[in-house]
Amino acid sequence: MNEIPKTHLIGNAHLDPIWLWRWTEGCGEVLQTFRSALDRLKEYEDFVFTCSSAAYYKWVEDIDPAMFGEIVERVKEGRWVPVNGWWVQPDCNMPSGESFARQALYSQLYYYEKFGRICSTGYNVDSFGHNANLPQLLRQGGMNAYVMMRPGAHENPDVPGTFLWESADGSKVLTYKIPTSYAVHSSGSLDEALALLDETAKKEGHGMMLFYGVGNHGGGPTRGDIEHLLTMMRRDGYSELEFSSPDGFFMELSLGMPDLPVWKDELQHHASGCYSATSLVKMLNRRAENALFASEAFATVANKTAGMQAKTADYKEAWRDVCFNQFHDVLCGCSIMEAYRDVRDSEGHAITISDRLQNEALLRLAHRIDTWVEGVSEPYTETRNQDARFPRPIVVFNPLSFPVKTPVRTYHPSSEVRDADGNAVPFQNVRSSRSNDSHLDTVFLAQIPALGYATYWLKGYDENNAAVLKTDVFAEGLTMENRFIKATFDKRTGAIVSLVDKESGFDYASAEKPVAVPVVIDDRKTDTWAHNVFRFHDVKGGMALQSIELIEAGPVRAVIRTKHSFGQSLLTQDFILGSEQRVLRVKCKARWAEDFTMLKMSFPVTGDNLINTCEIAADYIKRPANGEEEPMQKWTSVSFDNGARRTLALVNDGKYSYDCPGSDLRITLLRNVIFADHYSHRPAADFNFTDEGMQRFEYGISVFDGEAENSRIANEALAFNIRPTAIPESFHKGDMPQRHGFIEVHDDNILMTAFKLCEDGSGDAVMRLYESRGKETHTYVLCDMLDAGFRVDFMPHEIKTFRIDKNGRVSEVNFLEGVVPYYEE
Amino acid sequence: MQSIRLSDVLARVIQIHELTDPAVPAALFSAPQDTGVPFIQEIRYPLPSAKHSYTCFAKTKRAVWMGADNGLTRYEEAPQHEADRVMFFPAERNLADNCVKALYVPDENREEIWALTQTAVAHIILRTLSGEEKAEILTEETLSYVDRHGMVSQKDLTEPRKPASAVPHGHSDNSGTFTAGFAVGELCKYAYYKRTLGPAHEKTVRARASAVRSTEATLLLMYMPCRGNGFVARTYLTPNEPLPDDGLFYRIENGKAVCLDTSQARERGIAGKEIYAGGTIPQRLRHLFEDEGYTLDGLRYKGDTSSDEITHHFLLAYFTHMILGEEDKELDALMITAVKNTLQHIIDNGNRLIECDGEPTTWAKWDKGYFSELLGWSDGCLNAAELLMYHKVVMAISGETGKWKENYDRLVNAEGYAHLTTLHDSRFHISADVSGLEQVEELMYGDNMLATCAYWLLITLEEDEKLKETYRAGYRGWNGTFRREHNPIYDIPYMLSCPDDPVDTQMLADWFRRQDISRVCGSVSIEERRDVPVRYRFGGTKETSWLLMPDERGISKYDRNPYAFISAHNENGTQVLESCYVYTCAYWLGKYYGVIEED
Repeated sequence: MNEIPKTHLIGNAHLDPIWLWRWTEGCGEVLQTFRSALDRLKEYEDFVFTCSSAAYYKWVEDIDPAMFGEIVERVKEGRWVPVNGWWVQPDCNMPSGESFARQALYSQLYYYEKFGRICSTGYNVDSFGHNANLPQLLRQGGMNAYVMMRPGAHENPDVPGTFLWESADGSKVLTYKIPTSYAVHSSGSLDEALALLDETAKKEGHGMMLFYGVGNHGGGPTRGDIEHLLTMMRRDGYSELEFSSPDGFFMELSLGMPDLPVWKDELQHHASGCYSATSLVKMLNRRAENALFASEAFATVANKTAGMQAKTADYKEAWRDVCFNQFHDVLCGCSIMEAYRDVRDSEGHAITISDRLQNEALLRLAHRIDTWVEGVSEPYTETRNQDARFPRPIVVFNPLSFPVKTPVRTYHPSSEVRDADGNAVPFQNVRSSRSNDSHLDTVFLAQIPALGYATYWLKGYDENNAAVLKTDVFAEGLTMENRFIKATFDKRTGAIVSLVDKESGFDYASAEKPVAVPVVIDDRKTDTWAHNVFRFHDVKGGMALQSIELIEAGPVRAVIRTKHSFGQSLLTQDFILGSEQRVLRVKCKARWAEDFTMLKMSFPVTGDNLINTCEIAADYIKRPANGEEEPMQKWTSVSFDNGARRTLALVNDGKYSYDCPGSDLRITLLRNVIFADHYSHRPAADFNFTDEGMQRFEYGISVFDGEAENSRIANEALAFNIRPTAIPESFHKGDMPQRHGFIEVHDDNILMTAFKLCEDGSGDAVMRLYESRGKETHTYVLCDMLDAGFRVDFMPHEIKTFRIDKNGRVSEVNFLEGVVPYYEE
Repeated sequence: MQSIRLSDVLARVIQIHELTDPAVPAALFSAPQDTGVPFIQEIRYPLPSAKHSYTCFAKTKRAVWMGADNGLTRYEEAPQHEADRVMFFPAERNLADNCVKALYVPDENREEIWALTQTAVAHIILRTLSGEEKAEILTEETLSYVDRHGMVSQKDLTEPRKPASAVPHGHSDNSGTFTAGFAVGELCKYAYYKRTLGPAHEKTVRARASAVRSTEATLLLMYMPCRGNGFVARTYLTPNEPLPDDGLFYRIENGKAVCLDTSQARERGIAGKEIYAGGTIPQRLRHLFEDEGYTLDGLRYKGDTSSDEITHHFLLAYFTHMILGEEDKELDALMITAVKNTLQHIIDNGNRLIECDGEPTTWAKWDKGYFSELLGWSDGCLNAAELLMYHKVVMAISGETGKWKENYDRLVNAEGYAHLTTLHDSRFHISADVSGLEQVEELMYGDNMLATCAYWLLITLEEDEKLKETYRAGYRGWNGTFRREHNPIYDIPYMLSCPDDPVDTQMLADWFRRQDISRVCGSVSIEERRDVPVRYRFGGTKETSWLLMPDERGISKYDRNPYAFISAHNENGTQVLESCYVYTCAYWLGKYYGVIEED
């Protein structure tokens, strides 16, 4: 332990590339700040500058190579210290586990290439909350320490100041919580902060860090600040002061042999409104994450089997856009409205890259499948399948690491669907979204192998000759059911008054306690972040039912449509229950016009010992059902005792927030507050609102016995988000069978989040998997196309990345894919 | 409490024959070669060799055997135990070389095969045994070939794979540790047989003899230095055994001992130093060397003793008292005196074991000064638990409280040792971080066993519930490194100490089932296996990505990383024979405590 705890002076500039300005201005801010920092480094020989975010360095490299060269030299000297091996300082609750992997991959490799080193310290000083799996995500990205600031002591007094943070897999990072501000400047504030840090240092017996420099819109340490600190260094009464970096602080802290508290939880809450504000950016983030996963997985398959060129550079470009838009003020929905037009465009750019590459991959693969039918003299290219002589092949692709059985839609009607073995498959002609020709699409029940495809044969539409297969789906009146779920709706309210888990017989709803009830919350008193507000319980009113009807009742699915209104707002929900589906899918369209409101969908349950379990980045977390607004990812749930252990779970395709006051699990669907309304200083204006206008989203309902994490809910949520793609094919010879899976992961609690090519251009494949149920798992993976088959042990919650070479030899690496050496040989 | 169910314990019985050995069936040489394996694509499971590289195969009733150029694979489509689906037989542990040319099954109803490789022929039989039979076979091998004056650690072999060729000498730096572990197992075996078969049963009588001999041999090390101050020897050599240049050795002669000329003695400046050795060795223990024709004069004992030895001696003291205390009061008294003397030595010397120069030994420091050094800071949590355990054992077996209790309470309260026992995980993490390593890279794997001894006995003997919980919390801090190993010698005491914590009993059963029936070392070709990814740790350590069954990884004591991704040929070759205590101690502990159930 140090006898004289030192205060490490961390010169930095907090740079928000987007917030109350657009990215173009943020880019300029970065260049100006970096120039200033370089000048200060010239002027003060002991001064050290710390800066995060590879995206900023890339801007400077592209726009001002000479200045970038200066930075490279300063990094070599150790006086410019890059921290946070991530592309930006993202929100740390909403990005998926794979996004955090990509934040590290593209940044640390960039740092390694440009500076010959990677960052060892994670650094998200302004991010509003930090998910419980971050220690693992940081360490897998090559970092062993972390700096954060929120929640502050007023928001969560239990969080220690300096501590070891441990995630559920056992990974640990030394963590420093900034007790003052990330941007202390001017002599008065510096004095005040130094006094506080000095006091804390003496109390805790180890050094502290002072983060000084003008921030938010960049700036960095001024001459005045540096001069003032130099003056303070010469004065008595303070602990030793030293220009330093977070890396230096953590090394000295460790060498000081501190007994630090261990924190085994998430770090919440600061801005509880951020996980629901501005639905657009949330939806785009999820869409991009989902699209890139599927696209890259099939592009890798096509590269290995169908001659597709490696597209690592394209995927890097797309992922960098996604990573950039995960910046905390962007993804949290609290930037200015104008910024979201840019966000929409750049996410669109990423998704377009993804979709184009996926399309190439799928068509290349589909073209290798043998779809030849005797009697067809020429490859058939008729797209509408009007000629009923031959059924039409449709190839359905599933990118997930487990097989799926799910309804799939094609944009034309059929009279018969058969699988590759000639077996009749349940199908249903349903109303299309178009008003043209038949007005009908086909929905059929497809079964597709893991990371694979299945070919189905759809016979042309014949109104008088459509085969109907009996399935588990039945609907009548306002009740629908399949083998897992039976749901009955109330004709007066549109809510579900009976929701039976048919496996256990337990009914989750009743007339007294209906579920799927839309509730409008009064949200006038909060700002965009909802600073200092952690509960949203002021009910403004319920939504009135306008209509309810059973609109489909076929063998593949039944659909009940409800329409609700509130003020000038409308909500349409299609409750879709598919054959053999464990999730009752709800397709929503909201035309929202209620200012200062939040829309929640309420699912009250009856029972004791309630606990919420929800997905976080590549893991799950259990939280008390205490009514606080909480972040989530693709699923949340409430488990409780009522005869047995019961669980009601909700999945979603782009929402990130829920609460559970009492026994009422409520997913937050919309939050319509003023853009960038900081502490609600609101001079009169024609305000724009975050969620006004048309909103389209989906959520799903699933019920089962047992604790959520012991179920397949993570698989269901993944399948809800990443759905099969149907490719209409023609007739041709091919060397691949009509049904094939390219990988087998033996245990379905082991989920794949990436299948890609290695960034080093070697052609090696990279596969990332994580354990999703908190269960030690001894499993194996087969991948014939790579001539690879290997066994692997997963500890509970563990993420593993495998690199498979051209000879099928496998090594386990981290997010950096083995491109960065693990140690200096 | 959970239990470990053992059934169908497997044993690989392997003999290597020369190509010209007439015992080799001629049919092996006429077996088809390079034909490939026709059904290989139907196997949907990772295999150790590339599918295209299998060149020969043979079927038994339960399995198919396939040869490739990196070893022999046995695949069972519907195994009773999932861990047995794929078994791999590589050189040099199972084959003379890896290039399998032909296979011959003499009777497909038996799991027996002949494998022709480039340089020799392997005759492999899979035998099904009970856990007890395996323990007996292993014990027999150890007592016949590893035993050295009652101590059991390891022996070199003059001929590969032939235990009978063991050289007569061969000490280990940790003879006391390993023999104590063996003795604990033998004591438990004796107690188990006595309870289930009666004291007069032949097995009981034999077990008692073995337990007493190994206990006496361990105890002798506590008396051997004759310094009169409780100092303990690591091991000793008789005059005809070669002296290695490894550590500090003292030759006893006429009530004196001279520090012999070794590199370490010279470094320490004590080579040639004469010290007091006028203490006496109880007659009860002298027979161990006198029966072999030696006297005390001329014996050379090894010093610079570590906490490993001391901790195992105290573990054995507890079991000796518990199992033999009533029926062998002489041995019990000797043990009690020995541990009291040793603990008094430690206390008198500021919680350190002191060498003849007044300085502490390299690895036996339990003092706060050591704990304030970087190495001792992370080591201190374990060492604190050890020192507290020594006190509890002395009080438990001597029935004395007094100064021991006073000192224990002082350590717990004023010195903060009890709290210190809870800090291992966090301190160890920081220590590893400073070295640029992950915890599993920083770990001295022998520490797992030391932690087991220390925390288990602390939890067993502590009566104060609050303190007991503190020790449990500390024990759990080790679970991160225990639990990935699935080693019953850690998990059985853990199950007894923390009965509500989950343990994977199936993996423990597999551990017992898949131990070989010989402890002849031989490296294995993990690098050649395609079904085993190499895992790179931050510090560059290479591990296997999954825990191989014990019969497919290197043979070792409890002081090696079971995930080690070792190279094809290690320095020991097949000419080292290890003691069996790795298996027998765990097995008999499990039987004694009723944790193991057998069909």
